[in-house]
Amino acid sequence: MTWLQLSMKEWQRRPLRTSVTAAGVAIATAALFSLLAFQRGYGNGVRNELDRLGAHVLVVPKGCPYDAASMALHGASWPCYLKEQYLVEVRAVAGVATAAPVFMTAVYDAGSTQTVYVGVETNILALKRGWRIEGNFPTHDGGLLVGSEIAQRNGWKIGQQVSLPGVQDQTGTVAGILAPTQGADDTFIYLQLADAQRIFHHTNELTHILVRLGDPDALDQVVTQLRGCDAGLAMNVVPLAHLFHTIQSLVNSTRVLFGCVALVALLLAGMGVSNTILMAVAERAREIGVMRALGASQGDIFRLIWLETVQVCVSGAMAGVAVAFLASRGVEAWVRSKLPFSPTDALIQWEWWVAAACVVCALVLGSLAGFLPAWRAARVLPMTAIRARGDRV
Amino acid sequence: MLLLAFRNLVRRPLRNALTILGLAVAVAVLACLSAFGHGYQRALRAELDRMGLQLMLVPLGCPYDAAARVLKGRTLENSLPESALDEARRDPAVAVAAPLLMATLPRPGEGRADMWVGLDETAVSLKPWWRAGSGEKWFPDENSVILGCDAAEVEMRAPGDWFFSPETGRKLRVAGVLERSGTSDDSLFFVPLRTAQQMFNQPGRLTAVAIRLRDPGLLHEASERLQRIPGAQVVTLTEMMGTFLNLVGAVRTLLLSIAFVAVAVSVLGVFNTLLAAVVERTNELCVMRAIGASRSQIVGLITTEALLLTGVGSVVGIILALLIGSGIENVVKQFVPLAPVESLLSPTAAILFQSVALGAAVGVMGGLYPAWRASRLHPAEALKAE
Repeated sequence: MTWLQLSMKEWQRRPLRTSVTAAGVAIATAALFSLLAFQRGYGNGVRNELDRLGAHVLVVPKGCPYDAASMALHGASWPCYLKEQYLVEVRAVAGVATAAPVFMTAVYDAGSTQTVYVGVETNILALKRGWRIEGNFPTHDGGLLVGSEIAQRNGWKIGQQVSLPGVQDQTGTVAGILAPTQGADDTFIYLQLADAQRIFHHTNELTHILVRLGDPDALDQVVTQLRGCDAGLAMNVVPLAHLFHTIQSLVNSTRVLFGCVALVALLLAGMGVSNTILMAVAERAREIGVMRALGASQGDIFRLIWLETVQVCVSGAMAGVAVAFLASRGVEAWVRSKLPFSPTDALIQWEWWVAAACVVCALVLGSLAGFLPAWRAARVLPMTAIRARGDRV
Repeated sequence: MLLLAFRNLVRRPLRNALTILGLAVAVAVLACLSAFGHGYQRALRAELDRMGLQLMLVPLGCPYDAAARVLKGRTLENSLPESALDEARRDPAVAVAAPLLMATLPRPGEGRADMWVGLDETAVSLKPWWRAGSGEKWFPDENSVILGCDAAEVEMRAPGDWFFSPETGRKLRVAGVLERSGTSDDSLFFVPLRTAQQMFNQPGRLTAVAIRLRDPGLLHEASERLQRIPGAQVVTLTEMMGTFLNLVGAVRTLLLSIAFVAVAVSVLGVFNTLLAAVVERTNELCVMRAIGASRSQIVGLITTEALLLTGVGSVVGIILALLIGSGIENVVKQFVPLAPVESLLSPTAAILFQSVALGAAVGVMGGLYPAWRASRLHPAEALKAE
């Protein structure tokens, strides 16, 4: 019988107790895994989302730039607007390669489904390099470019005349359908800027301007110039790289707090393991005494008990990681409802190193937790085997 | 029965101590977190109320960030033109518009940075708690400075003393020292607005304008009008507080959920401990049954043991929370935007009660199965020899 098999015996002997202990480790590890994976996923998600926007600088009306960026990314009705003449000034700034004006609004129909309309000009294509369009970009009045999800949901085909959801007495022709982008674009309806301004009664107004630079390294100079121009006093210039850093540093600053609490949970699980193994050792004092009497050294006993502990911890950790991964959708939906700003991408992603880190963490924990019981077991005297009732150690 | 349960627990000191400690840590974390949330909200509201402000004009950029920095006495990268102040004062709904200029003066020699604030007479009406502890209440001339009480202690100055600031090359007379107010004002250096603009080379610029309205009901119209001032944004303090509470609330909910994981782990610990106690004492429990103990009495015994275990755990946890609470608070404060100066932890009776109730719930949940199992034991088993 190998060491490993021998140490497995405890599962057969006390299946309930050992599984409960492993479950404790599993719960704590699951929390740790979700947390680590979430931290990674959140950062990546925000970055992807900003990349997909294709702009280096976002020009928005006065107000909190984080709110504004979130609206630009996810689609919403804006509380305030920019005047269209600012666009001229933005375009005049040296270093600005493309300045794409956008008018965005969200409408709700009877079933309270949200439909986001985005009015753009052709130059948006210079920013959205990843777009693949089936059909054409709308160039005539009433032409629509529809996100893949919207097209699928409504069963729209290219060339079809459709009535605009959520807007009364307005129709459009589907000029093109956007291939899936895995982003918020899939749920947007793009139309011509002038059309959007007319339909929603905001002539000569914009919600934001997407700016792409000729040379991204010149970001700081361009931003300074944009803030310095006449219109600069009436708008907020948000460099997206800074935005990303701010969000990331906010997330990072909470990381320590979360880490501490997760560590406490793990520590408690470790104490539970220690306790269970102590019980096992106490119960098996006679058996251990017999083993000692038959020639097992103190080191052998120590190794046996220690292995048992590590084994419980590692199997618990593996189960925990698996459960966390399976439950990630639910956890994600819950976290999303709690967070003020969250990207549309999957927040919890499977990464081998995160899973490995969790298991290693449990391994270390198990080693520490197993120390005391293993040491106590090793000190059991062979004499114990001879005593009638050896349950007191 | 209580005594019997207690004796049973004492029989296994190490095992039960470990279980109690585990539960205590979980309860302590949970109690600290929930106390923290309550305290934060209360302290933030008190701080904002005391200022008597409704609006603030800040430079472009994230207005919440800017307002938070100004309220905490930190500098901004951006500044407002002084014309914004004049426009704000012209607005019919504005009762008081107080300009502020904030600047940090790094003192590498002393290993710290001093915060200087330039203001004018209007500021006094916005700071009702401004009480000169000694000396005059206001600047007699442009070369005077009023010190916060901590600043006066550090600089070892009393009213009437001269004060030379080598970095800006300005010689100032200390006009007064403020009484301790428990706000960030305690560590600030106050000078007249013009003096500050000269000292820090920012003529015609302001960091923010604090505004009190004639009637708080005019908030909406006033902020709409003020929003049109070029180069400035309006922040209403209620909105701002809402934003911060949301953010802090989100973090707190997530933290609490992890703390619940810790509690769940300790439930399993209690379960295991009691189960082991039942299995070990099979013989003893059977004898009890044989000499006339009813099933419900056995269930009662094991449940009492469970409740005793978790009760002690909760009490230890609460004591632990009270002991380490202030340490945790200092760590937390570094991560929280607009952390109020007051203590954030408020151990209310409700929270103490919650913790004890939680402990009891843990005991019942963890003890249910072991108690049931103990009650199933057959008296005849006691007769079997080991």
